[in-house]
Amino acid sequence: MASLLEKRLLDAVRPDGGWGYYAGQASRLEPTAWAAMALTAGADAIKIGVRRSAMTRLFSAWQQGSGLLLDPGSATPNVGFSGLGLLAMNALAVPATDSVSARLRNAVVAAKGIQLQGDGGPIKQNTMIQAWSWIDGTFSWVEPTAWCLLSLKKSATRDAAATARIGDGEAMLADRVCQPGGWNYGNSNAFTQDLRPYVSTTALGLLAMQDRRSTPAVARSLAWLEQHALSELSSMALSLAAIALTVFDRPADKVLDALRVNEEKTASLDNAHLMAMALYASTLTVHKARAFRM
Amino acid sequence: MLTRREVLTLPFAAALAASCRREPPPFDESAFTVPRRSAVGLFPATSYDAGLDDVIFRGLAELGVDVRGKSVLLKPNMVEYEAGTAINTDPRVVAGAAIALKRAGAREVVVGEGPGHRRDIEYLLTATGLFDRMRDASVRFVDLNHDAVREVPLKSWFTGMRSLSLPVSVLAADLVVSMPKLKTHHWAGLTCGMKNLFGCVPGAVYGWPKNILHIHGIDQSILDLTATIRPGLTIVDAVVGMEGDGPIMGRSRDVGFIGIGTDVVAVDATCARIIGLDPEKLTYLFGGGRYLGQSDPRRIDQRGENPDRYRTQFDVIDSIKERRLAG
Repeated sequence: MASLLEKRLLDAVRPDGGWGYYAGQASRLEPTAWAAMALTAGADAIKIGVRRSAMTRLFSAWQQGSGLLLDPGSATPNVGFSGLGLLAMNALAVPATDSVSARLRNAVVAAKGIQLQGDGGPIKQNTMIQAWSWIDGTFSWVEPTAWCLLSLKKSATRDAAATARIGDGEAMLADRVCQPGGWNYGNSNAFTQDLRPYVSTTALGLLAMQDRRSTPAVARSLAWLEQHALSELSSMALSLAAIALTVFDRPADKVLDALRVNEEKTASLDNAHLMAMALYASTLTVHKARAFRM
Repeated sequence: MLTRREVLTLPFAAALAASCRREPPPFDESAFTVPRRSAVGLFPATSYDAGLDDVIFRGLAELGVDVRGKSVLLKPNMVEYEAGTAINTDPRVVAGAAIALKRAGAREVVVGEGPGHRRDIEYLLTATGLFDRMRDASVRFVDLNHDAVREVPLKSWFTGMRSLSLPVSVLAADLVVSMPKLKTHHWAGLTCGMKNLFGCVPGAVYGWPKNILHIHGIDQSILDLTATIRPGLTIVDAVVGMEGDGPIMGRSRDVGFIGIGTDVVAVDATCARIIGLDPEKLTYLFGGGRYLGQSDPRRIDQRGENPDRYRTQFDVIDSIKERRLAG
């Protein structure tokens, strides 16, 4: 499966060295970051160097005055994907002193979701915590928070501002843990009903909180993922689950088997982002999820 | 900093009514004409196995909908998968519509959706069975969350926003067909043809959920999206609806029809009345009836079955009870 995915991904590369979500579309941030990580995981220095220059060239072109990366076609930078971009730069060993990387890191530190005064509304959560939103001027959500938190924790430099933001991100994820463990996209309870966790968001939350694995919420979430990793059959859910389980040193064989079977059925919808996730997961035994592991 | 209550009360009817009445209104008046009369068809369908392509084909003919030579994008409502629930437009209705529209002469039919809640579209497609239904009907899927996008000016600006990036597949289609599930909605009261258009806003640009729409007001966003996308046809899955804490956590409720119409406001207003909600108390329908379509029941011509056949009272959460029809 890995070699076929690698070939399909290489066939889909755009002339500018990036990837669009679907064939023929312009390069976008998320598939480019994932493809760069997937194609270089466990690769030699020459391959990594080639991919690194292509990716940093694109990221440099996409970087805004704020330092965040603007997904081409969008009018507003995507904070969550900027966090993913920072993680990819780290995975491809872009030096922390590189100006694009340094400005991106500072921008991720500076980005904040908006705050809401809690007044007994129907959504039970601490709305004063400002973690990371998808785009500026909106609320914090689990996915962008997990990407930004993980990328900051993986960064080589950590100043007081970054430390404070890491605290915000951890507080937000701790606040949003679902009752049985794991994470929904946003809230854990709305209109008096407990919301259920999902595989992909739980895997992301665990990756971001991997250095807090002894805390009860993280332990409960890991147990939930181990039990439910096969409940959502898709490239995204299975790949992220396999990566998270590997990082937590848990067996991922059954999840990877399911990923293979699923890939035969859906071919990742021919979506480069999903193909890259599946490729990264299917080569876990080689690289041990280094890009995600603290 | 906004308070939770301020965020929740932003869309209430009084504010929107005031903005609808103020001079000038937040839309180009010359660009919109409320039809003097609109037709809405209700066609019996008590089961998802009841030849829905035939039901929809007959409905299109009865309403005189001409799709010959057109490229059609079907926009179902795919939100979340939970076995045995009525969260999503049933894939059999989507496949039935695709077959019917092809039979009616559409040049191309694709299915497009960009779930606002669950971003894992591959999971949703396979778990719901839509993936297999589309393959069987030889229909292509367009992932609206990750499609190429183009920034376009909004045709009304109740939200205060002047433009949005929208998927090129939506913008390029000759005919966008909104294919909602008939459900109550814990914020908006009702989710049907108009609210369904939230799924046209690309998550890869704005995130999941499409939080920018909530920040600018759900009702206001529904109006601006409907004004800009202008779905030319609405096909409602009201075979089984959802009552209570919709759009996800509610209960299934048998209703028994497929609703069809070219005026999405008229379709939504008709469906609202059938389930016991007052369109004049649903902020976006109140607003939509003033510039997007016909919401006056005296000016809506019913085709197929009489709405009285299906009239019922959906259970709603407490905060929505004041939006029920009187009596």
